[in-house]
Amino acid sequence: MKTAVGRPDTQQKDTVRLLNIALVVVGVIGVVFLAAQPTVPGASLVYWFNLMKAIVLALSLNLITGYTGYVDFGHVVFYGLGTYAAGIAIGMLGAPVPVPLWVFIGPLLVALIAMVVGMPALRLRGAYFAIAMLSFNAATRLIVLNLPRDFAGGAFGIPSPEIYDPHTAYYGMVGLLVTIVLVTVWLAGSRFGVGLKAIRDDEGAAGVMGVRTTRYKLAAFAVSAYFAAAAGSVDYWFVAFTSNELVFNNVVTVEMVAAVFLGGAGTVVGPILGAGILYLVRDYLWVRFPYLYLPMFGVVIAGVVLWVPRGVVGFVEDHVPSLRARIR
Amino acid sequence: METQILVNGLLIGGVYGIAALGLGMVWGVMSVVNVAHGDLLVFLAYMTWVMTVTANLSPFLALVVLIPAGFVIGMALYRFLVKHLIQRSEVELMSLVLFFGLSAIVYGISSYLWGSDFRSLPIPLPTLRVFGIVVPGTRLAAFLLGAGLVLGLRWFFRRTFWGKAIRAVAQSRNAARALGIDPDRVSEVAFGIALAYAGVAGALIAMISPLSPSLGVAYAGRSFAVVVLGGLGNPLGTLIAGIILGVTESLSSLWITFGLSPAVAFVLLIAVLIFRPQGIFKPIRSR
Repeated sequence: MKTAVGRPDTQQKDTVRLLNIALVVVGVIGVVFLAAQPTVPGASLVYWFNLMKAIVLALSLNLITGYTGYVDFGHVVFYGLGTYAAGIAIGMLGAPVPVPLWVFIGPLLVALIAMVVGMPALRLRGAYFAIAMLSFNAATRLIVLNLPRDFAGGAFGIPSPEIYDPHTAYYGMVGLLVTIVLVTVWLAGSRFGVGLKAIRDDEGAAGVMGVRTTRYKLAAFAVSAYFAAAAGSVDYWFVAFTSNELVFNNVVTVEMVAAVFLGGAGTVVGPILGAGILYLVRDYLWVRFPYLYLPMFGVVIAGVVLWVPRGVVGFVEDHVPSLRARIR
Repeated sequence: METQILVNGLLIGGVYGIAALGLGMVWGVMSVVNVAHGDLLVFLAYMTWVMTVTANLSPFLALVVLIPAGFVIGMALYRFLVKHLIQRSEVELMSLVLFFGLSAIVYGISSYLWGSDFRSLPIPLPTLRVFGIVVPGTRLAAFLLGAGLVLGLRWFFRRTFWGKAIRAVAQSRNAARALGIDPDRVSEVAFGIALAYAGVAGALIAMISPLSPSLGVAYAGRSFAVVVLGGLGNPLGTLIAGIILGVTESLSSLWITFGLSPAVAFVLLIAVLIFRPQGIFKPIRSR
């Protein structure tokens, strides 16, 4: 994850500025396109909703794994807890807070859980953290499954047919997507983001240079968990159902990891690109070869690590000299 | 009742120990974290099931095929995948992600071939009763075989040339190279041995529990807890750690609830990582 921070000459500066403008334009067009879908007759809301969900999840993993360098193999746990935060409040407790509000407040509880788990877990480095999170997801799944049935639904899950309103929920996901993109863009240039990247590159050195590593890591982890959980809550709003098997599924983590590394970890554009590409491929494969679906993600992850460790964004940077001063 | 539970835990713990051995060896020798270990174990367990049910072999005879098969798979994994990463600066992180991908591939294949329902072997050995305690013959045989192979590996590391070469590479690849040991060749063999042991563990798992692809995650979690507790690549330490986990799981299913017992490994893992991250026993890297 080297970043060539030379002094870019004027021509490079222009190229980079042009590219940034182009990216903003594409982004705005994309958001307008997505926001317009509910008014298009015959458009498949489920299709676009799930695309946005995949991007939000990839960007949320990117915050802790891409920027901070802590690979999280249990990240789906926060998405799952997000669906349950919505499910329990709405389906079991009768929605004491209005649904459109709760799907953004409830995930704060999950962020809190992430901080509690993060305090011991983020003291672990590299493989130990990844494995701890993998097991944390497995353990959480079992615990939720064994909670009282009239509280968390047990193996049956929690349906709330009375709140089913995919049109409104769809806009919730549009809002979430825009928010996480803006947060990531801000983060990439902020003091906080620079601190995180310093932790990723050399945590000891970052600490010596005055980065408060523990606080920074916990904050990044909490924000990352918040967005994964919010994606879960909004997803609950959209489908009005959650169940254990579905939402604590490792397959979702595999998708997130594949998207982040394929696109380029620790960039804004990378995870969006990665999630988008994989979503198209996934859609094609699901219909024709459903069993190839998971192995295909595995092949993507392994191939990226072996041949393009910095993902599509890194590959472009390496092969287009004028961009070597970096896209960010 | 308590004694019965302890015996059950002990017997199953022996299998946990040998299941974790391959993971610890690769991790200890070349800093490669094989997250696909659990899924590979389950895949090899399914191979045992295939041989036992379709070819009518005894599961113990299946080992004759599984050990060399595991060895070849391990060598191939090193030669075609790991070797290309090992010179890079971020071996641990990148190998972690690489094997996460491999885990998805292996899990996907197992689900495709056998995912529809639980498969279990016919029980090959009769159940014994000793002082009123039920001892399933198959589990006892699995435990003894596992323990024997663990002691064999301990002897191999201490007394043979190849064993010493593997320990040398674990301590320092460069120093080993300077002494005329080819670290690539030695790592390849170490990976082969690790997966050969996974083959044995797979056969034992097939003998003691019904199989489903999702068992892979449970075994990955258990193996990590056992390896961290027992010292990376220390055979005897790993066996003892496996027994500790087995007994703890059994007791928790008695005292709390059966459904939560896979979560025990997670609690144990976190507790060890926080309070004693170096494990109880010496890793293979130490002298």
